[in-house]
Amino acid sequence: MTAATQHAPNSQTRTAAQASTIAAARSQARSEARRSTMNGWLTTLLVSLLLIAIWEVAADLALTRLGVMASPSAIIQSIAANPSLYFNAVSATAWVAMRGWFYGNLAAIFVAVVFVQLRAFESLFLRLALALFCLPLVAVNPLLQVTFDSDTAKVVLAALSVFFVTLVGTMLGLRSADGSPMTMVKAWGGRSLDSLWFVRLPSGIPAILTGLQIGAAAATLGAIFGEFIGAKAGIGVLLINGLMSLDLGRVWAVAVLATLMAAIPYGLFGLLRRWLTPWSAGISSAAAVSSGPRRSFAARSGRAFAYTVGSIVVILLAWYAYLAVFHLTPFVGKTPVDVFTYLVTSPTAAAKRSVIFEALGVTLVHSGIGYIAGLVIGVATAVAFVLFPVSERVFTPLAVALRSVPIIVLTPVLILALGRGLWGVVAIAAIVTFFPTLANTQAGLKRVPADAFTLMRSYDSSRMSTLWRLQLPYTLPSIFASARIAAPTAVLASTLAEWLATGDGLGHVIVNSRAHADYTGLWAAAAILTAVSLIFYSLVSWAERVVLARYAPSYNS
Amino acid sequence: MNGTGFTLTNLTKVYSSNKRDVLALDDISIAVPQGSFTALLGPSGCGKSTILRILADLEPYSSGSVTIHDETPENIRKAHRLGLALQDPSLLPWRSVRDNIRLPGQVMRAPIPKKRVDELIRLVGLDGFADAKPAQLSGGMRQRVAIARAIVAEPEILLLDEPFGALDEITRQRMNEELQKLWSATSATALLVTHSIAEAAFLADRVIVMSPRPGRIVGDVMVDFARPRRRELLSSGEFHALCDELSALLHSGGDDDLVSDGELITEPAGV
Repeated sequence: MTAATQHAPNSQTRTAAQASTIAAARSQARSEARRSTMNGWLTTLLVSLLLIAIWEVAADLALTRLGVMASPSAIIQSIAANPSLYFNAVSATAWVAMRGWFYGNLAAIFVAVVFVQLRAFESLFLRLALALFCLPLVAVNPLLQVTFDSDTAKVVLAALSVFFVTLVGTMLGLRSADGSPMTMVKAWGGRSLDSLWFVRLPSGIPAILTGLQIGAAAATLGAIFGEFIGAKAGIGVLLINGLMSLDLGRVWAVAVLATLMAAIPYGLFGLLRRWLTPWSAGISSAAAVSSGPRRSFAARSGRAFAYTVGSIVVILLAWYAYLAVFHLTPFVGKTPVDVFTYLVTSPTAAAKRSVIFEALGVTLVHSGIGYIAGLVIGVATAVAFVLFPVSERVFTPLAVALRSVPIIVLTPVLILALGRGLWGVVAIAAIVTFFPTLANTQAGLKRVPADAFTLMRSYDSSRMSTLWRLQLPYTLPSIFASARIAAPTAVLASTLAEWLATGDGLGHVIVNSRAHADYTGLWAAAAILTAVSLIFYSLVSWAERVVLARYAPSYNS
Repeated sequence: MNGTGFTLTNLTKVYSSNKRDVLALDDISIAVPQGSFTALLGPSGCGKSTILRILADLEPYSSGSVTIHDETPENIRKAHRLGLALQDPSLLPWRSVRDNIRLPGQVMRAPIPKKRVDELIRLVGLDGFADAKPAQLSGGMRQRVAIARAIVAEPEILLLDEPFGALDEITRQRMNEELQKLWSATSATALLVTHSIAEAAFLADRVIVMSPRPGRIVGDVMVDFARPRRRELLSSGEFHALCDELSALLHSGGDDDLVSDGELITEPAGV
């Protein structure tokens, strides 16, 4: 900066010329940046308007008559015809969602701090937290309804749906600054609370805010689902009513309102995060994965076995603790022993077993096909975005918007569109897998180091070859991360659809058991569903470890 | 300069895993006077950072004894008498330059006067950057902040683990001159870990040369160039002779390029 002014006497004119050149270049760069932002917004706006127009036309021409889709104008009419109905429903649901969101995040952040500060707690109880994550809301909802009053049950359900994601995100965030800053604090004689206060908490803020952001949508989902049983007001009640009376306008109006309820806080917290923590881009989160010393195969298998047994014991203890803490009467609160008797030793066990396992088979088909389809289509779409950058510009805003649609409202909408058969359920499981996979794969593809691209270009590598040899291997960790998280969600989505529509699968067994006051059946189905969800999750994370050990060893060292 | 700075007596460090034990430090004995500047010179994996981490009480050792100013490293660390700078400047990205330099005082619950912080910011040549965030600084500037932070609480022992290892050669020489100036103004006993021969020769009163597998001392050279040392020293004949001597010592312990290969004698990651 100062070099120019220190030059020889004749530099006066040159400096002026330089300054004007710099100013011109800067203003050009700025206006270009502004124009490209404007273009981006314009494209998004145009595409959205176009889609709404297509939606309107398609609905008016055919889809409404087929009972599939209400037009945007019909949705607005439905809301305008009875605004107080919708207003009351939204405020009832929002109040539940907000409380659930608050308590769930509070608990998650507290537990994350405890886990990070006291490692012993983490290894013991993270499995329990994971079980909570894999606990399908479909199975929990009726159990909560018999445990608490209706309002508390809804709030707890909303809190449960935000808990795990915030917990894991906060733990990663708190650890993101581990390494040399923590060494420094230790060298200054700081205690573990000092590192928490000065290093870990501030570095965890971006992750915590992300948790709050994602939690907004999850809490809405939990609150709406809680209203499916015994609620008198709320979005969930309207949804069920609309579905029962085949009132297309109402179902779609509820879908739009629920989406806004999820999307608006999502956007607000995103802005808040960017405003509060502008440094967050500078913190790498890749270093957070730590690994112990490498052990022999026997030792590792032994450890894995011990962990599994330990986890099962912890979960069973938690089950008993739940019954004892909340004073459940033996009529509604069943112990693991009751469930074992019900499924194995009682005279009717064989019949009950065949019902549950048949339903389980159906649920596995639903979620398995949907899950794999969602993964494949998600990765393929991200790859297509890379190969045809135009498509990325056009569709990414749409994908982001659709991602914040809670699956709870997708379910009735898709069932109206695809019918109550196999494909409706599969489509729902596929969609909940598709969006996170797409987003994570896109993000992963962008993390390839620029120098690696330069290298490939120097070999005159074709676009496909670069994709195959460089970009996809780099993206594997992201793809697996989303695959792991999506596994329980796919189970949840398919049981939700079964609950609402198809009349088969474990989701339906749960509805049925509840209707017939077969509480042992209810607990049995819930336990089996949770176990399946956990096994599903563990299988995917095992595959993740095997693949990443080969393709991304740096993630483990 | 009276009294002992730090002493290592028959220090041995073994890393044990299920598969094998690795001897990282083999019978290391060093004693340096208070207020002196010592450099530990050696290739990667010779255990020089391990010695520094043991002195900082960040790592246990297997046998032998360690004292700093006749006390244990643990006492020194807990009494906040230790200054540390690492290759990674490890600044907190959400804090300004000033708040990063203030941090040790906050952790030690002994707030550092604003005057002292501002004076250090000026001394390390960061006038006008007190409120800048680390992301707005160059690599050299970040490392200046890290050095200022290391000496802000007036430590008795200053441990420097390749603080300029990631900087370019030209910036590095300038930083070495500034480090010398800053250190001269303190009474701290300094230990610099480096793999740069010129850096060790330029800064230290005494250069201890180490070789890997197992980590042991292969040379101990006193450096008596007058202080303050200036850039011209680098082109003098004595300086070149000293560098040649250190280089010969470095290569005496079996000259092979397989230092980081095979044996698991690695310095802990993340240092």
